[in-house]
Formats: sequence, structure tokens, C-alpha cells
Amino acid sequence: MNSIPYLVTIWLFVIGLYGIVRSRNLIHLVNCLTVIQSSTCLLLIMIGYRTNAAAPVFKNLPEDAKAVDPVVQALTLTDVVVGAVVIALLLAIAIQAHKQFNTLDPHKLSAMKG
Amino acid sequence: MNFLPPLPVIIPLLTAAVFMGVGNSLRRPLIDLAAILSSLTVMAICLILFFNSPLAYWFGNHFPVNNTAFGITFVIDKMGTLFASFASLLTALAFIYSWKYFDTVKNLYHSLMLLFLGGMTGFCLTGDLFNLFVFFELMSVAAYSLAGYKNEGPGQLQGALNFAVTNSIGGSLILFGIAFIYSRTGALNLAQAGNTLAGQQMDALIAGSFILITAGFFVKAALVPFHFAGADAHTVGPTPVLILFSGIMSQLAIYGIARIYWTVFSGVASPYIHIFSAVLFTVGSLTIFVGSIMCYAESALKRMLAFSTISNMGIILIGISAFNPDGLKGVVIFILVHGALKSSLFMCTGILLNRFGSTDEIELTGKGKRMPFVGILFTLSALALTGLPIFGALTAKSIIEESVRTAGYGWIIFLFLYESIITGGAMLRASGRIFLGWGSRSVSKSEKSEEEEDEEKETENILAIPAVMTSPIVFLLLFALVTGVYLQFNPQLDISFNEFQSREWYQSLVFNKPLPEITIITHPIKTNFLSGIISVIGIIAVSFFSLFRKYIPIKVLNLSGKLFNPALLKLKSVHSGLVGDYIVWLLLGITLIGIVFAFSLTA
Repeated sequence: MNSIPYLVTIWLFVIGLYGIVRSRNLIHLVNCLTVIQSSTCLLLIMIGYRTNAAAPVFKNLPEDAKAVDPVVQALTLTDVVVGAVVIALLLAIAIQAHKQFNTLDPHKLSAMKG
Repeated sequence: MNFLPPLPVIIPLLTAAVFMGVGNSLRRPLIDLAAILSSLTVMAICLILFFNSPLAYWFGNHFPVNNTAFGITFVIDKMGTLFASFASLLTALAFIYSWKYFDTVKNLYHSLMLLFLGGMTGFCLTGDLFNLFVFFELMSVAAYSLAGYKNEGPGQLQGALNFAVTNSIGGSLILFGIAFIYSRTGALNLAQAGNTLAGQQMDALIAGSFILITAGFFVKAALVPFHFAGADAHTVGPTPVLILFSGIMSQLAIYGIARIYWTVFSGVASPYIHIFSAVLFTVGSLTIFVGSIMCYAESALKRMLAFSTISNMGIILIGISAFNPDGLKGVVIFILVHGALKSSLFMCTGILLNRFGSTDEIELTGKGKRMPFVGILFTLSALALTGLPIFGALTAKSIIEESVRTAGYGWIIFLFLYESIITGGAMLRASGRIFLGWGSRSVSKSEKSEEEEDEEKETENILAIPAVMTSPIVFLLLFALVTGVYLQFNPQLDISFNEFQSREWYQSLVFNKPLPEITIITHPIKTNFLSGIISVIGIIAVSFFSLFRKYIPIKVLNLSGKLFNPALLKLKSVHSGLVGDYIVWLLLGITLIGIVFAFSLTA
């Protein structure tokens, strides 16, 4: 089994977290969150992947044909939808922040201390 | 009976969709009524299911074959339905409360609250790992938008942002954990995954998936050091929403950990249970320690209550960490009683915020004098939560203390006492200041009375508090009283605590086999009245100490200032409000838990 996809998963997750920690711009921060979500999607797809297997549409396949796992693909799809909702919401918050405080820098929003 | 199980999810989601679609043309009272009715219906259905449990419902009648699940299931057991009905009860009360609390909200608010409810009930009832995640995300997304829904203070946007970012990373962690379990077992059904895992050896992948899932839920449950964003959200949200946040949402995250542990991991983890117990116990104790101090150090009421919730989440986690039915019993009683009492505290705070536009106890000093009824309710709830024996919170704490004693953690009783005294002292201090006007404020008497006369004229109509705001508080207090007693002396529930912790029982239920006999290992209840008396005395002492500082010798003050202030300031500055810092703490927490597991599993 090829281990590169797993390494990419870890890389995406770590770099996304790093981006969020260092971020000074809300839009950038939201994009980093999508990077993290991509890493979960990649992991899910990889778990169901089988070499030389067909897509899980069994209509024209022979009975004993190998196919990749459709369950994780369904999970990935759901995860993408959930991710999109969160991203949309966060972008709305970013717009509100820009309207109210005229800044996108999370450090300048800091009304919440202590 | 067979058509009932999906309804607790369908009804709120459908009502929410209708509100979104045609709500704009409906009048506000109509929407309020419909929302209250639909959440009460959900509660009624959950209660019917509670009394008819256990049963497993398969969507589309895709029944399992040979212990392999092909469909998606709702598993109706006592524990799940109990929490689902409590969630819908709190939602209904929040709707009643917000009737007069919000003047300008529209259908969107009701839709979001109902989505939130749908997510919570689904989370309680589902028997499938991925659905657990989906319902978790549904309730999270609704929670993010509700946290930022109504502007009640300057930190609102930031709080909602921190909450959303940190929690969706927590969600990703949970999804990673679920993916690990799926890669090992090929199953998403809780019972089936547990069945497959039970025959395997503990290894890094299984431990890793447990760590990831627990860490994800810890973020939601606001446990130290994952609590930062949770604390912000519990501070900035609109009051009716906070009732759900503090009353049930955080607790459901712990329920999620418990559910997944006992259905999936309990077989493979049983030889290592002391490690799991130690990790959960440590996190719980740390949470109690930090949460209580922060609660005492805050002067904004909402944030004070937020940290009180956080320290109480520590108590709940310690009850889980006992890994025996006694601990679970304490946890369930505590969750219901705490949920009711904390909600009533938030409702009282909401009345103050609504009338005076502030929740800061210094600003509010003396202003609550002419709301004695709210003051009595607030003080009573605060004391009931921390020390008064009859309300059940003390009993629950005693049960939890007993349950961890066998594992050698008997000293936890002192930490619980400390928690009660500090948080109770902080809340009593606030009520003394606000409702009695005590505390050292250097205003000469003549000025003060003039000021008050002015205020009197202004606030004549402010002080008429509508019954829809106070009646939920009274109801919640009565509910806490009745439930505390009912849960303690219900033999059926004792059985269900044992069932909840039996993997065989759960599997037999899901795969439609005869249910095994459960041996009851719950012990009779002993309430530790002594600790109750000590905490009440301690609470009064602490609150008097902080209210009447001017009568205390200056040397004592200086000494205590020198001892505690630097640490306190440090602790407060850690709560920086920056999402980046929160993520670093989250990573630190996971890494530490991971190291503990790595060392103890290889040792």
C-alpha cells in the first residue's frame, strides 16, 4: 500500500492548523479551515480505496468485480456539505466583523479578554 | 409505537423548514406558539419512548442480518430518551422565555433553535457512528449561528468566530477518529464496530481513534485545556441560547464519549481501563480547578456562570471516569439537576441584562434591590447548585465521590468541596452585590439616595417583569427538586445505568437477540450532608470575605493579594480571545493525552 496519501493527509492537517494559529486575516483563517477539512476527506477516501477497483456503480459490472468502498465516499460527500455550511457561516461572520470593526485581523477584534 | 422513533428528529426539522419558508408572513406570537408546541410534542414523544424502551428502530426496515447492519438505526434506550426529552424541555422553556426577552427576532431564530433541538435529539437516539457525527455537526452549526445571532455585547462576533473555528476543528478530530474505527472494523454501526473491535488487541490505531474522538468532544464540552472557545461562546450568546448551551449541549458531548466508549471501545479497552480512567479523571480535576478560580475571578455574570458550567463539566467527567454504574447514576442526576438550575441562573441574569443592559456585578451594584423575587430565585438556584442538600446536586456529587473511591481517588471530595465553595461564593457575592447592594462602594449616603431616586423614576416600568420570564425559572427550580428526588429512588433507572454500560446488552438490542440478564451493581445512595453543610458555610464565608473587604485587616488583604494575584492575572491573560492561541492549547491537550496513552500502553 502506498503511504503517500496518508502523509499528505497529515501534512494538510498540520499545515492547516499552523495557518489558523498564525493567521492575521479572517478570510485566510477560513481558508485554512477548508484545508483541514480536505485532509479529513482525503483520509476517508483513502480508507475505502482499493487498487485496480472500479467505481462503486454495480450496474454494468460483473458479479465478482472489485469496487472501492462506497460508504466512505458517502461520508466524504456529507463531510463536504457540513464543511461548506461552516465555511459559509464563518465568511458571514467575517463580513460582519469588517462592517462593524472595519478590520479582518482577528487580533484587533479582541474584546474578549480574561 | 413503531413509527415514533424518527419523529423527535423529523418534527423540529420540519417545523424549522416551514418557519424558514413561510415564517416571514406569519405573526410573531403564532411562530412562538408553534415553536413551543413542537418542542413540547418532541418532549412528549421522547417520554413515551422512554417508557417503552428499549427498542431498535431501523430506517426503511433494513434489518440487520447475521450481526451485520445494512441500514441506519435509532437505538431507543432509557439514557438516550431521557436526555432527548430534557433537551426538548429546555428548548420549550427557552422559547417561552424569549417570547418577551427578544423584541425583534424573526422566524430565523426559531428555525435555528429547532434545528439545534433536532440535532440534539438525533445525537441522543442514534446508534450509528457517522450519524452521531452528522447530528453533532448539525447541532454545532446551529449553535455557531445562534451564538452570534443577537448582539448583546462587543465580543459577540469574536466569541462566535472562536467557537465556530475551534469546534469545527474538534469535529474534524471526531471524524478522523471515526475514520480510524471504520478502517479497522468496516462498520459504522456502534454495536457492530464494538463487536469487531472486541476480538482485537489494543494498538496505536484504536487508542488514537479514542483520543481523537474524546478530544473532539472535549472541545464541545469545554473541558480544560479545550475550554477557551466554549467559555467565550457561553459568555457572548443570547441568554435563551445559553440555557441550551450550558444546560444540555456541553453535557451531550460527555454523553457522546460515554456512549461511544461503552458500545465500541469497552471490549478492547477493558484491560487498560485504569489508563482511560486516569486520563479522564485528570482532565476532570484540572477542569474543576481552573473553572472554579476563573468563576471567582470574573465580575461579568454571564462569564461567571460560563466558568461555573465548565467546573461542573469537570464533575460530570469525573463521574464518567469511574467507569461504573454508580458514577453514571451520579452523572445523570447531576446533568438534569445542574441543567435546570444553571438555566434558571442564566434566566435571572437575562432579566438583569434585559432591564439594565449590563451583566457586570459592579455596574449592577444595588440595582436589583427592587427585584427581590429575581434575587431570591438567583440565590436559591446558586445555593441549590452548590450546597443545599434537598435539590439533588449534593446527592449527585456524593454518588460520584463514592464511585471513584474504589479506584483510589477518594480525595476528590476535597476538590468538590473547593469547587462548591469557590463557585458558590462567587455567585452569592454577585447576588449580594446586585440584589442587596452590599459590598464596598465608596458613595456617600446622600448622593446615593438621590441617584436612586432618579433611577426610581426611570425604571418604574422596567421593573415589571413579565410572567413568561419568571415562570420558567420557578418551573425549573421545581423541576430540579422533583427530578433530583425521582431519579434517586427509581429502581428502573438503576437497571438502565447497568444496561448502558453493558456492550452485550446493547448488541442484543440492536441485533434483535434476546436481551441478556443484567447484574445490578448499583449501590444505595448515601448523601454526604456534612459536605453540604461545610460548603454552605464556606460559600457564605467566601462571599462575605469578598463583599466586605474593607473590614478585613489590610495586612491580610495584602498577603492574599501577593499570594494569589500574579497567578490569577496569568490565568486570566491565558484566556486571550485569540483563536490561534486556543488551537495551540487544543493541540497541547491532545499531545499530552497522546503521550500518556503511548507510555502506558507500551509500558
